[in-house]
Amino acid sequence: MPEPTIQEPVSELDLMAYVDDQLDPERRIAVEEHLSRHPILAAQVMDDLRRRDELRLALTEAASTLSDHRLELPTQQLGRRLSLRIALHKNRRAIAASILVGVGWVAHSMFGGLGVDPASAAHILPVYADEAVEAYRTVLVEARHEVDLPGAGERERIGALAANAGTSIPLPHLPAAFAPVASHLVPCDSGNAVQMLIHGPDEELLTLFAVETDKFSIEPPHAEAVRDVNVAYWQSGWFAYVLSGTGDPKELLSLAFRLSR
Amino acid sequence: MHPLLKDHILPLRRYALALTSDADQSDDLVQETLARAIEGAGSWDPRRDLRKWLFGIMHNTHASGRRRCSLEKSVAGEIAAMSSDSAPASQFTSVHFSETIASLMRLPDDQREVMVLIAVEAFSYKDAAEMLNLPVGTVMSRLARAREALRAEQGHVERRRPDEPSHRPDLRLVR
Repeated sequence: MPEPTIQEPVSELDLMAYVDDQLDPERRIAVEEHLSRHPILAAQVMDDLRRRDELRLALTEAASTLSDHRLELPTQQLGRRLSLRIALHKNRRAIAASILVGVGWVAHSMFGGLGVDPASAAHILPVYADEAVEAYRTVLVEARHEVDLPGAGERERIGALAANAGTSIPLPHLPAAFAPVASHLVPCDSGNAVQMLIHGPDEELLTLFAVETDKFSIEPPHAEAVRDVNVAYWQSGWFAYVLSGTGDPKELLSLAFRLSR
Repeated sequence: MHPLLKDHILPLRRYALALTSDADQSDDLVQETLARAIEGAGSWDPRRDLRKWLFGIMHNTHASGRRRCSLEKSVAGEIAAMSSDSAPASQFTSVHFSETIASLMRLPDDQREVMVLIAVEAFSYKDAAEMLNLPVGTVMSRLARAREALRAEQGHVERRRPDEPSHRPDLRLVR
């Protein structure tokens, strides 16, 4: 004859955990069995469940009447940063690999091609360019959703932002036809970066991403396409710059050359 | 609304309402929570539950605000109002459920907080304990006391109801 399973008696805490949906299915069944034999307890549990549902409804109703207007901007900003975290996390391996090749790439330019095949190195974006592309994509998403971009672009404000990035990031002067519209700090693994939003002569949206690197180097602009985004990136001393856009890659590169001088 | 956050704003608003019991203050609390989250976004690990992270920030933001307020002794009046029978249900536009919210608001802060996290937001005891930085046992005993208080309160309200215009007359039996 099979031994009857010894089950712990149902306690007050079990009943509470039942109401709060914290029990595994086996224990739930034990509690339900217990309740079926104790109608007074069952009524009390039903009462607690009803009160829980009423609370949910009442708070949801009260919260739904509040306007989200003031939250739109911070929500966008937070969402952008969190998306960047997710993108960085997903790309961590790829980024780790690109750092290695990136270092090789610098070594190559310094020591005349020892160790790394320049053809493969040239096709791998530096980490900062990858981050710049992510930041550019989130800007495009925002522009599509017509989110108000923060503040009109006074150069002082942008300069102040760059100065607050932990270190002062020098930003190049834009040609007259290009108008800076906004800028903000973008957190990234290599330290804070500044992303400047720029309206080009044909109202196209460009971003200039500037970040301090841990390697001093002078690299002329390189153009590359990262799926739907064209980038031109260069390094000027300790600072790396990435110009991103969806327009003509040749124009982007020529603008990058003007800015890098 | 940003796709990553669109499902979290309403729950955060609910929690903020329960913590502050005031529409304006709850709005400020959500704002401040988002501002702190923006500042701390670099520390968020995408493998971690975003909702739990945000609620934890809101709890800490509110707790530090409360400490600040109590130092300034400016909440004395609010606490008195909250614990009295004149709980500010009228601050909510919700009419149907005002009594439900009012009884929640009459709970002490620590009980109200666990009640909302677990009963309304369906967090596990463990997650709630981690967010509040408390042992699980403490969370459970606060919850049990909150439930008891709500039950007692409801008994009280039901006894009080005959004075008010209510639906109770429907229960009169027609012989």
